[in-house]
Amino acid sequence: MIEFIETDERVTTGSAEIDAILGGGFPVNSINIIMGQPGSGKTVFAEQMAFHNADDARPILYLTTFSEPVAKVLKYLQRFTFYDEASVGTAVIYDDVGARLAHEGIEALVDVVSDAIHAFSPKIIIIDSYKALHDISPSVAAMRRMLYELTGLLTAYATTVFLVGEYSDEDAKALPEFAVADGIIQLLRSEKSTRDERFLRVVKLRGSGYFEGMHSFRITRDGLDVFPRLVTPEVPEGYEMDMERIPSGIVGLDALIGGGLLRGRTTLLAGPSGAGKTTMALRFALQALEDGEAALYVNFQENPTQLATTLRAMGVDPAQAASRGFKLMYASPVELQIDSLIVTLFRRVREEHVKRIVIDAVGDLMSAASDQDRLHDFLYALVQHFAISGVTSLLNFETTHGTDGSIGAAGGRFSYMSDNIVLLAMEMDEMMTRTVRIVKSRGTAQDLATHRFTIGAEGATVV
Amino acid sequence: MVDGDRHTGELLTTFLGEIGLETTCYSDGDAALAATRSDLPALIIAEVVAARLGGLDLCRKLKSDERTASAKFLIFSVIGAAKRARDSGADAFLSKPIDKARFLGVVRTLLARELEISS
Repeated sequence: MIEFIETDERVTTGSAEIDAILGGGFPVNSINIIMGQPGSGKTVFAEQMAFHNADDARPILYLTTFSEPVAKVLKYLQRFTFYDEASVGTAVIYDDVGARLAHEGIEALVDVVSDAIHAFSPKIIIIDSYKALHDISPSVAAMRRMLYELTGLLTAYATTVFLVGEYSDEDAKALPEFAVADGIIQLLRSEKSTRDERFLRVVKLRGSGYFEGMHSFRITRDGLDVFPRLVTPEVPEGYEMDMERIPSGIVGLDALIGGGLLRGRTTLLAGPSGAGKTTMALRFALQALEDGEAALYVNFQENPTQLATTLRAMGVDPAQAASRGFKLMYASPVELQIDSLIVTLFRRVREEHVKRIVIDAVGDLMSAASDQDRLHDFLYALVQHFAISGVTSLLNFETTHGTDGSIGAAGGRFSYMSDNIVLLAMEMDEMMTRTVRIVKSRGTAQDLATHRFTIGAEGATVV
Repeated sequence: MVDGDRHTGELLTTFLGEIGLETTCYSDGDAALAATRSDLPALIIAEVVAARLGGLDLCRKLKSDERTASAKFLIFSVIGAAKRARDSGADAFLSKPIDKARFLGVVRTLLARELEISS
């Protein structure tokens, strides 16, 4: 007997990240809605999918209705790298059906789609905007009848469908297309001070697992650049805590913490401005080079030129350090987009085999984050990933309530995710002295005393 | 063809017409059984879920009757009933929806001799 059973084929979105969020892409032959407010990126997403799936076998049909004329769609489309002029009219067929629907009524959409299926067997059909059809429908009943006919046709024939529209959350509860849709993707845009934050969310995806929650994205010349929400990793079977101790790079500190930092652990380095956090953190990062490992220094305050000056003052040649594996990631605090930053950071650690990382400073992330709980979830997930992959991390945190050496409520939110807490302070007597105290050192009998430390040309030294 | 879905009937009629095949659609299995006994077609395409007499039962009846057993039988269904299709004596099982190239490929294979003769 000849046998063909439906397989779990997927349609790529043209983005590896979105495909991963969808469990591999949209299930083939599904009916999906792409919803979002004006300017949220719906059309870019739809076009990105169209062109990434364009091949000679079966074309993509892109129907525009009443949102934008085809000429306008094509004009802006040419700015994107996925645009391929040779595909337009052959592998991707555009058809403006607005005038026909206005003249013949919304029922004509079923004939348009049916004619297209008979004429060229499209493997993907995009209707942009479907929501706009509600505006010219004479009645709710007429719209429902048309939808029933259309989905009957689109269910019978093997094609993957995307209905694009400026749907609101209220529309999603009330409009009939949301009941028949197999998949619903929502694009959101929220204004935050001088910049916008964009998020992608899977509302529904029948027959497939998907990655829940809000995934940050930005629109680039390549289309949607998505940063999947970072979640705590599943601990692999057989995972054992690494008990190897590695030198901190700070002279005298290792003696206070049982001989060095445990590999894969997170240290919170807290203290007031001027206490020596950046010097200590740079020494910690540079020590990786001595051990033949790569280090990533994430910095929000000193731009690369300023940091190079700081390094030179410490007797380090920035170019030579870079060639030996000292990597710098700088983001201006004004332009910080937390999700993209943390996901980029995570990618770099993985792809560049980074073994030590410094975040200088987590307070800058807090100032930029619109959602503090989200930031903490992200950072917690991040340090868990580091623990499993043996990346030793140092989080700098500036205390702002005096120089006496207490961590404060804000810093306390980071302490639960840190294995070690090193507290720096400044004491004013006849002259200013810097002190260091190990407040917490998980799994280690630490020295509880307060020690003086100095900063000189050789770096930071605990006395 | 036995299928209660109008769209499936219309699309398959068109696609089969493109390779020179004439199709008659029935929305229930009983009517198709009677028609097949009076005028044996080259191929019967049936949905498992059909009114009165489902595709699998129709297949068993026709395949167990020597007057109609020679007609090729394709179960084309929304249900993944490949094993039951084989047990009922079908020559092919294909799951919905309609993938035109695949569908016509299966039909061409089933009717290789008939299509060769007609061409």
